[in-house]
Parts: sequence; structure tokens; C-alpha cells
Amino acid sequence: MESLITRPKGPRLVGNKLNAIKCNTCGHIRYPARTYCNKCQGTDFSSILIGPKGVVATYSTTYKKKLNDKQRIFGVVQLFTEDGEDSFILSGTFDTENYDDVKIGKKIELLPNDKYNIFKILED
Amino acid sequence: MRNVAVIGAGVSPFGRLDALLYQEIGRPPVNDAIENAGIDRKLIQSCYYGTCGGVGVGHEIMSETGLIGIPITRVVNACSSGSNAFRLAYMDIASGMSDCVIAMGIEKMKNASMAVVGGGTRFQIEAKAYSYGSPFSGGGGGGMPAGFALMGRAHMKMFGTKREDFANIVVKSRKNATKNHKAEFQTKMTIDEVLNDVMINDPLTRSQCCPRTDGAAAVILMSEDYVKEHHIDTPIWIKASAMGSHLGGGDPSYPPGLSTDADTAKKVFKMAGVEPKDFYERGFGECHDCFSVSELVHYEDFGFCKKGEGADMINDGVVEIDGDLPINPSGGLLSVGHPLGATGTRQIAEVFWQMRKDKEVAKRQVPDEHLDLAFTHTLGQPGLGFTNVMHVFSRDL
Repeated sequence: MESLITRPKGPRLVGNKLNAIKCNTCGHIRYPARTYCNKCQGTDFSSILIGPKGVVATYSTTYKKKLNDKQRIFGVVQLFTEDGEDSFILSGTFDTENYDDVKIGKKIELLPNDKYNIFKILED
Repeated sequence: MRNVAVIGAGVSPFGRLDALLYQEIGRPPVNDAIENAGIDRKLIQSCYYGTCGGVGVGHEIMSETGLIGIPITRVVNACSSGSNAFRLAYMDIASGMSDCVIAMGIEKMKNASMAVVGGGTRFQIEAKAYSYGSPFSGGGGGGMPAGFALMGRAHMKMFGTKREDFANIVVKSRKNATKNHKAEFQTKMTIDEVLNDVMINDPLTRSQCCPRTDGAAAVILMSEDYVKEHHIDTPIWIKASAMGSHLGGGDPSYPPGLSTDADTAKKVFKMAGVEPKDFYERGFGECHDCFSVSELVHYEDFGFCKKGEGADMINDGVVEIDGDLPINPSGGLLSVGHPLGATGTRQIAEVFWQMRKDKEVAKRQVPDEHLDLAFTHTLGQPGLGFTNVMHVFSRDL
């Protein structure tokens, strides 16, 4: 029976790659790992590492109440496996305060971080 | 399943009602709904009410309106709480358990923060634990507008949608709400005023985000047997009810739409035996326009147009009250306001009154040829997941 104790445990990241699982029945990717596939309810999985490279899928920025507030630019990226066969959508914050630095389709890299998903914008 | 009809509705004024108690907000629409239905309140056998922050207020309101003693169930499902209460009332009658049920929604937004919606402190702790190592970690802390802003940016890039297209949704909403004396905002806005409003999350300016509003709405439902027995005039029949859920994130199809909305629309239209094109010929609807972006992507997710063509729906006037497919004739969440628990029942009251040509909506009456068929839709985000509820209504049994 599933419980907090039996819930699969594992490191969030392996290096700077997502430690995810792929359903062997339907191919759906789950991150973080869980006991059941939420697409086909299967229980047979393979480990899969995703990232750290990806592209910006979409982005926006927070409203600054005061001029000296930090401009936080956040968004969603599509991270790929090394062979490019699989990908996963992940939200997080970009490592820049300049809104013009971020564009949809720009290449990014997931930075190792224990708390948040931080994306570094890569030069073209 | 038995046939079920809506037979009466009542809606409170929507706005900032800090000075009023829950009972003072909720009692009038309950009494109005019973009067609108033209029935003896003794016929009501059960109550479902949607609210996120109003613990136990249903009992107090039912007590004050002479309905205490019947089963009363509180429904908490974020922005879908009211429509979820209505769905349970429908199922209660359809299953044969009851013949006459009241569904109510109520909210005082001061008491309904996202932490409350999610279940209080326990939610905050679990959300923190979940976000550690999840697809949502570090999402920017922008709250609800952030998610739809991201969707809007993706839509702009993929389909060339312009900021003006999103802003036009608000212009239409405000125009309709000038004819709704219950709406929080009853004044027009120009496209420049919308675009030059305070920026919240690019591309969403303040007026493209629905206000935090207080209010309540109630509807009375009745079985076909009772409708005949009690000679109810112009009942509006519930042809279908569907609900879906989804845990956001991780789905590459997420931007720029919501797969759970598309799935639920297919389910509810199939159950009703209709197709999206039928609404063009003889229908209208109320959808969950919590943000300008959301209304535009709903057009596409429901199949009213192809992906990427949502902007044409608003720019060509298709969704205006006198258009080919009127959407949100009330003014929607953007102008009427969005008291989480009340929105679903408020939408159902709107389509009921429209289809019955009630004096309540005389100033914003949808043309006759569109009154055969109607839909309602709410999209809620209880915690980190999505839940949506859709209904289809018809004047014919």
C-alpha cells in the first residue's frame, strides 16, 4: 500500500539532471518518481535522466511594487534527455534580471540547486 | 438517470462586501431563487453549497431561510466549488435520492486565500514539501496570474497573438457588464486603458485579471416528475454534467492551453449529444474568464475554433452578445467578479435567466435563436492541481 513511508525516494537531481522515471507501458515520464503512472496507471518504470540542457517554452516576470524590488523572471522550459528522445516541462526562475535576455526558444541549462529550479540562459 | 431541470435562481450584488456577514450576503439570493422558482420552500429536500472560506455558513443561511433539517453539504473545490455543488445537486436528483434541491455558492474573499482554498496550514506545509524537487519548484511566486501570463506569452509566440487581442476580451467583458447591475465593474474600458493599466505579469495588466469579489448565488433544481406535478413554468433542462482533473506541469501540451479543459468539453458535449458547432447555430455560454488569456484559450480548448484562432473569435465579434456564439453575456469573472464558491452558481443563474428570457437579464438578453443550448464552465486550482466542471443546458427535454 502506498504511504509516505513507501513512497519512492531518491535524489531530486543526479548532478544537474532530473532524476525521473519513464513508464515502460506507455512511455509517460514522471518527475519526481512515484509508484503509479498517472497516464496509464502502470507500475513498471525505467530510470531516466533529463537535462540539464533545454529551451525556453514560455516566460513572464513579476510585478515590481517598488523600484528597488528585484525583477524576478520566471518561466517554463523544456528539458531534453542526452539523446534528445524524451523531454520534460519544468517551471523555474531564470538567472537574469534583464527581461530582454529571455526569449522563447533560447537555449538554457538547469543549474544545480537544492531548493529551486534555476535556469541559466546560454549564449546562442 | 432521471431528467433534472433548473427552475429558479437568485444572485446577490457582487463586490467588496466587507461590512456584511455571510448570512446577509447569502440569505437574499436563496430567498430570491425560491421566489423565482415559484415553489413552496417545504419542497426543498437537500442543499449543497460551495465555499472555500465560509466554514458552516450554509447551515446558518439555510436556517435563516427556513430550510434547516435537510441534508446540507459543504463543497470545497477552489474556483469550481459552486459548479461542483450544482453537479452534486444534479446527481442527487438524477439518482432518485431527492426531487428538489438547492445549490448555493458564497464567498467572502477576505477569508479565502489560496492557503485556505488548499486546506489551510496543512496545505502550505505539503505544498512546500511537494515543490521540493517538483516541476513547480521556483515558479516565480507570481500566483494565479503568473500561470496564465506564461500561457499568454506562449500563445503570442506560437500563433502571433497580440496583446491587443487579449485586451479586447476585457473590452467586451466590460461592455456586457454595463448592462449587469449585479456586476462589480459596470463601466466600459477602452483597449488603451486596458493595455496601459498596471502590469501584473506580462502580458497581463491589472484589468485583465478578475477582481477578488464577495458574493453569493443560488439555484433550485427539480426532477422531471416534480416539474410536472408542480406545474413549473419554463424549466431549463440539464443535458450533461462533466468534471475533470489534472496535476499541472510536466505535460508538454500545457502551453498554451489546458488539456483537462479540452477533455472535459469533449465529455460534456458527448453526454449532451451536441458538437461545438451546434453552439454557433443555437447556443451561447458562460466560461471561466479568470484572466483575459484564459477566455481566449477556452475558445480553442472547447473546439469552437482551431488552436491559434482564438483571437479571431474576439476580434471578429463572434463572441459578442449579438455575435454568432455569445460568450459571457453577464460580463464574466473579469467584470462581474470572482467569489470562488459563488462563481459556478452565478454562471448557471445567468444561463437559466437568459434561456427563460427573465427580466433580470433583459438589458443583456442573448438573441432568441441562441437560446436553445447553453454551456457553463469553471476552472479551479485547488492547491497544485486543476479541476474543471462543465454543464450543458437545453430548453427542450
